[in-house]
Amino acid sequence: MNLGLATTYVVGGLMMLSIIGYNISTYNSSVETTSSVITQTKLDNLVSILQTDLSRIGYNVDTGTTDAFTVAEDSSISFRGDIYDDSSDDFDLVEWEFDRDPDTTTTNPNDFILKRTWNSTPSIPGNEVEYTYSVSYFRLNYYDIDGASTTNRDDIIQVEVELMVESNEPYYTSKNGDESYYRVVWKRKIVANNLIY
Amino acid sequence: MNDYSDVLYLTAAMVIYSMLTVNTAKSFLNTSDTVIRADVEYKTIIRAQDVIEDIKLIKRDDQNKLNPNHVDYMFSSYPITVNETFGPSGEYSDTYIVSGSSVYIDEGDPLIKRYKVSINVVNESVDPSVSVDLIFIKSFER
Repeated sequence: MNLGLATTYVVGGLMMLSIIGYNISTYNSSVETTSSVITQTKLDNLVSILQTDLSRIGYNVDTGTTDAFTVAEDSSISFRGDIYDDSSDDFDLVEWEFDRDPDTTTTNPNDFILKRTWNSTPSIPGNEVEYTYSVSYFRLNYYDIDGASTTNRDDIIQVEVELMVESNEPYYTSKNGDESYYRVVWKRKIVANNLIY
Repeated sequence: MNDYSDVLYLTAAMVIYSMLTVNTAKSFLNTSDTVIRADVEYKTIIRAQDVIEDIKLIKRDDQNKLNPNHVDYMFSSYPITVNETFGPSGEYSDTYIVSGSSVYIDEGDPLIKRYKVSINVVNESVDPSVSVDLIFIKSFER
């Protein structure tokens, strides 16, 4: 083999390795960016539903604020409120529950099911509609009008929600099999305006 | 002569290829930077909204908290640094610098007193830092 041909093979090989590396890098970046956008959109949708629900706590509940909450725990909340202003009863009954049931529909082992149960006619318990979302973490804290933490349902004015969502699929898998998932967090206190006055 | 021209062609091809890879890498770096900044801005806005939510809860009897000339003025100790933790055991955290001020809006309204509250929240975890301003009008019955 002459020197020119050998040099051509070496340079060509290096170029080929470089192109393969470039391809892998571009692919990984694309997957990461796409994962981030999908995960953020997933969180935005969930936040939008949560905010609508929580800001309506006690709305059209004529029996007083005492009856606005039926459950107020750190992983579940159930409350009365006219969520869509259109229920046949005066108000709806909504429950959010995070009981750490793994979500087997995704490859992410950190995904658990967050369940929303909505009944537009609480007088008919069988009319409940159930929605499920996959989240990594969900926690609720409750505060009274002075901002002090409380567990007394009669005193709750603010609900703090912490929500963590990860991508359903890994955006990167290392050589030893460790998978990386894109993660977004939302944490906010929501004042239930209908309970203030 | 032919060998030298081949080398020149190869050099030119490698330079063009290098420029292509560098530009693509820069583009992806910018995209990642934008995604991260968007996430930081998102969380910074939430912190500002939290302060506004607290102001919503100020009772009529406590309205001096918004009066800059009163001893109870709530923003006299601002700016303050707020450390927010996230995660099941608080393993993630973000630090924000919260500033605030309020001014009385003198409209001559005999029934309502209004204060314009301005909240500024800064997150310095990215460079340049993210700054968010929110304004809220709080009304009290006279």
